[in-house]
Amino acid sequence: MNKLTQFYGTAVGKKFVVAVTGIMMAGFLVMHMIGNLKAFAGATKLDAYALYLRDIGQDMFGHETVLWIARIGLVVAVVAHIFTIVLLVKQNHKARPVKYHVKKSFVSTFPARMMRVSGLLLLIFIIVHIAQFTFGEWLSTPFEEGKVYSNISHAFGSGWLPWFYVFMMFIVCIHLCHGLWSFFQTLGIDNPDRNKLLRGLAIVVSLVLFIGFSAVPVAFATGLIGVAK
Amino acid sequence: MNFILSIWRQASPEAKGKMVKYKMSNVSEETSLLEMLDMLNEKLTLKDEEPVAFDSDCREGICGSCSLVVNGRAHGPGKLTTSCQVFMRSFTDGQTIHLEPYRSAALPVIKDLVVDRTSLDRIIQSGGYISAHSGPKPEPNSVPIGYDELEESMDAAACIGCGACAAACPNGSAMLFTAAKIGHLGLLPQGQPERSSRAKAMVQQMDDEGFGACTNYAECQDACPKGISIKFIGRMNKDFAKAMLCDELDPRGSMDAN
Ligand code: HEM
Ligand code: FES
Repeated sequence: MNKLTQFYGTAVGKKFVVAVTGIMMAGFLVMHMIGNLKAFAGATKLDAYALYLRDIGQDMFGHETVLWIARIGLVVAVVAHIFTIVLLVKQNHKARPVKYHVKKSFVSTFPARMMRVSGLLLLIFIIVHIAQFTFGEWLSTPFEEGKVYSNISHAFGSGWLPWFYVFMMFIVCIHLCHGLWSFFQTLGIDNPDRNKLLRGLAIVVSLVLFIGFSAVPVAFATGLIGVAK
Repeated sequence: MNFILSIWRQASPEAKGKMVKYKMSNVSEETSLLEMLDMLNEKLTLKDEEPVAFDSDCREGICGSCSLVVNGRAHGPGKLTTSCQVFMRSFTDGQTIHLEPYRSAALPVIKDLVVDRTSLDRIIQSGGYISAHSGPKPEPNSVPIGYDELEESMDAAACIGCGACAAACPNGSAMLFTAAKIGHLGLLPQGQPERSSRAKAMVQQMDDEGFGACTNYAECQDACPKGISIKFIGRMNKDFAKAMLCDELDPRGSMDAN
């Protein structure tokens, strides 16, 4: 424990925590996206998938146990990620008390410079998203537990909500364009011999997430799929 | 060539500074930036004004003394160069040139364009050394070193400790500097005995001095006059994590049998 607190006490240790929690969340996003795409297989398949999530590992650990472990793991990751970022941002502000009169950047990428902005938007999105589809808040039609397909169909069927989701998925994409590569750099996995590959991988995964996540709200909004109104 | 210089003037560490404009005319394009500052200082001295304080020593790009932020860029226009190697031909006639000191909490301004870089020295003192015996010189080839490790170590050893990385970093972080020192020694066989303790001590000292953290912007690598790669930052992180998390806390302690 002593070792861990000492490690976390340094900027490098905090970076490790941001990177590891970040990659945990990114891994979750990939699974989440694959799950969401079940919407294209129809209501029965999607609702069955939602039930299946509760059954994972059931025979060994009991109903919903694995789901709850995953949920707790994710909450811990989100909280640790954000808490650590706040500490790092504070340290960074303190380290540059006087600004330059002529302020320029030369090689830092747009996503890198936007990390704090995109991260903050993500935090807002996470709250809105969980409130809507886990607790059924702020939806125009009554929320029915377990009826995933019809719930999202009503939510995304009209209005600006689907486009808000698409925009937020773009923000996820921007955050991860830098974040995923950053993970490899922070952990010392990147090297000149694989830098292009890892930079490319980060962008490809970010784009796949953007397209895969956006497909569902767009399909419901344009009437490609959905329950009859 | 004619220029308008806009220079940070600050009388003392505590004084409030400001940008002050000076006109320079008939500067030849072969003049270096620092020579032009010498010319300005001559003019100021003749007018009984306080000359602009700035650092320089070798003026040939090897000592790392010069430390200017020119038009928002550490060490001025161009890559792989120091402030003393910037010549007036890299600017356009009539241009306004902004000269500011490095900005980082750990590199406080002493006067005008001069900053206190002893924080970098203290990082080196904390662990940037190897233990070598002081007896007769050993046979040079008695310690074999792989060619690739040698070259990589030399890439890191090229660091002249100028501090441009911290000046260029939006977070005022000196990770590239510290990583270069840790990488330089950690790649050589002579650097192995202190490899863990070095990483721990230097990373800790860097924080204690008040430097920021890394967001992987890579601005440091772009500003570095010696082209030191951010791969050394990854290497430092790895060394540090291994030293902190994998090394035993109490390797000589005892273990119970029951
Ligand atoms: C779906 C949620 C999120 C994912 C998948 C994610 C992922 C990542 C990853 C992989 C990194 C790179 C770590 C590194 O530097 O090595 C990162 C960095 C960062 N994240 Fe997130 N993040 C998420 C949410 C957030 C939130 C909610 C915030 C802010 C409130 C945030 C703020 C940041 C910032 C500022 C950085 C840059 C850290 C630095 O290097 O200084 N992230 N994120
Ligand atoms: S004065 Fe020595 S490097 Fe510029």
